[in-house]
Amino acid sequence: MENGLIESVTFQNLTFAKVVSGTFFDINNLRGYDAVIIEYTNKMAVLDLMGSIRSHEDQAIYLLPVFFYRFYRESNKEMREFADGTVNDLQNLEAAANQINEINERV
Amino acid sequence: MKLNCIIVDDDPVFRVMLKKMVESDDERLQLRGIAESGEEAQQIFRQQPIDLIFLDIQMPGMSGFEFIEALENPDQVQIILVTGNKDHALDAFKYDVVDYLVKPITKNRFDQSVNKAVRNYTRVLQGQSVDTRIFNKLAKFMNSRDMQELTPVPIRSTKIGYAYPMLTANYSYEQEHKALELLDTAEQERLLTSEFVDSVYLCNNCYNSSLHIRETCPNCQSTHLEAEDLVHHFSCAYVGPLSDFYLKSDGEEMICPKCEKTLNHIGVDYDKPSLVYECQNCDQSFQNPEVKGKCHDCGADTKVEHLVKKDICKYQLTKAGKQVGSGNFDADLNPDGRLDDIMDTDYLRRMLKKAVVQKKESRENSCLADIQFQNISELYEQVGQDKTIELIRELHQIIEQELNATDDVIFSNKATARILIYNSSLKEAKVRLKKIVEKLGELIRDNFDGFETEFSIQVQTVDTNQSVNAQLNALSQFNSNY
Repeated sequence: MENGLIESVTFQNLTFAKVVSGTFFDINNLRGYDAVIIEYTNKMAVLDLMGSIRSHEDQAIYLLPVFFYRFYRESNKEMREFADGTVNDLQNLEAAANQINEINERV
Repeated sequence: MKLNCIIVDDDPVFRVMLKKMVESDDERLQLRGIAESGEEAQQIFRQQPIDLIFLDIQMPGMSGFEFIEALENPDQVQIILVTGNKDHALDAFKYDVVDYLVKPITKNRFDQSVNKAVRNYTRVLQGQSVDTRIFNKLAKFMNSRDMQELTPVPIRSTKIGYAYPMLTANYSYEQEHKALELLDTAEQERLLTSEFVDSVYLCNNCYNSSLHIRETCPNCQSTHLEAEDLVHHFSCAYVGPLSDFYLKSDGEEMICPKCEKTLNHIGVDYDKPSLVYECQNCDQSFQNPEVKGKCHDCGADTKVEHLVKKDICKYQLTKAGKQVGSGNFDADLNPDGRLDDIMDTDYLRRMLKKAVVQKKESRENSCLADIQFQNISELYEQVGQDKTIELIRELHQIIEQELNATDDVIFSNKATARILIYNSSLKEAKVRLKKIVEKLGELIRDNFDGFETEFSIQVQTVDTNQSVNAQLNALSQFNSNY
């Protein structure tokens, strides 16, 4: 059931975990994905989720590239520090993919 | 940091009780599963990494001990045994478990066990302090993002008023201030360089920045004060509060109560050099109220000069820090160990052993003494953790200065200095200890508003017939005032 709350989105050779902020799922289930796309609901829910990802003990989770989706307002600095960017179109994730590849090269 | 844990017990009532305890400690524990038998627990183990097990000993099928024996890497997991039978205690510790709990378990006893498990997990098992691991994570994150600077973000809801999101996320609200300590330590270890951004004042008890600053009465500490201008009449030199002066009917001119002249113009006839306060609680009048900061979180009411001032900086990784970030080596930070060199009880134990041997060989007498600072915890509470550490270092230094180069001193706790005086009779040692206490009292009095420390001294000669531990224990229990 928990995995049911994570939707897999593939682009090129990358698999994104798409989740909706505010829904409960086991963060450990993000292990193995190349990046996370968080659908924005509200600021607190996003910050909670980001905090859980970035404070995780496993490098495979805390270093995951994270992008916000359906995020129309201007992000505050805290959110910018946590995340790697935003995506607007799930069919075209090229910019995010480039960024993920850059990050992976440095890890 | 959360430890992934499981509960293994065949007793359904106890499973529920322990589940509640684990879930109530969700800052540190993440419940990953509940098993009714050792076999079921093994299945959970195969599916995910587990850091801590609450393990029943007597279960149908595989017993708790058999479960431990079957673990592939038993030293990779913390085990807290739980049982209804005290008879297993000796066997339990053969398995190198963290703790052994006898049912029924109190919350307090549960917390103690979890404390031990967390300590073991972080220090022994992983071989790294929590701060080391957090710094390694931070450096790796900065490196992976090619992040040039770690910048503080002002956030009202955080404990210190600022957050470093990637770093602060690793701490609970209560521990957020530790992020600053970690950054300080990393800078001292030359893993980071810093650039000043701002400074903040924090509660010296809980390090919260949410402070309510106001004037208080120096006599009764009440905040119910009325302030009014102090007026200085130039021509007759009368100085008094504004209310001493009669107002003319139009309210614009004042009459001096001393010379009865009219004061027309400020700067020409009079000035207002200051304010005078009147306490509405004890009627005391004064010009210099004590300014205090009341913490909105813990309620501590502290003189502003005793609040903790912290610099908020932005940080860059140094070359060494970048090496940590690229995974070439791990940092080793231990900010909690700032008094390790002074509070080294093992060192004194070794020195005492030497003194015993020396006395056997040379018959020269040596003395072992404790100086207890009986009421110093009151002062520590006032000045906060950072200044407490500075103060203990200074006290240690004063004692060292008064001792011979061959003598030794450590602090066995924050309120007890333990001293080994070589080649000295009991009488001579007492004279020196008295002098040391005078100096210590003077230092504290001069630096902390006349705070009077109450001391007690216990002193005994080094005994060649007693073990080192017995002598140290006797010293702790002996309680004659000097």
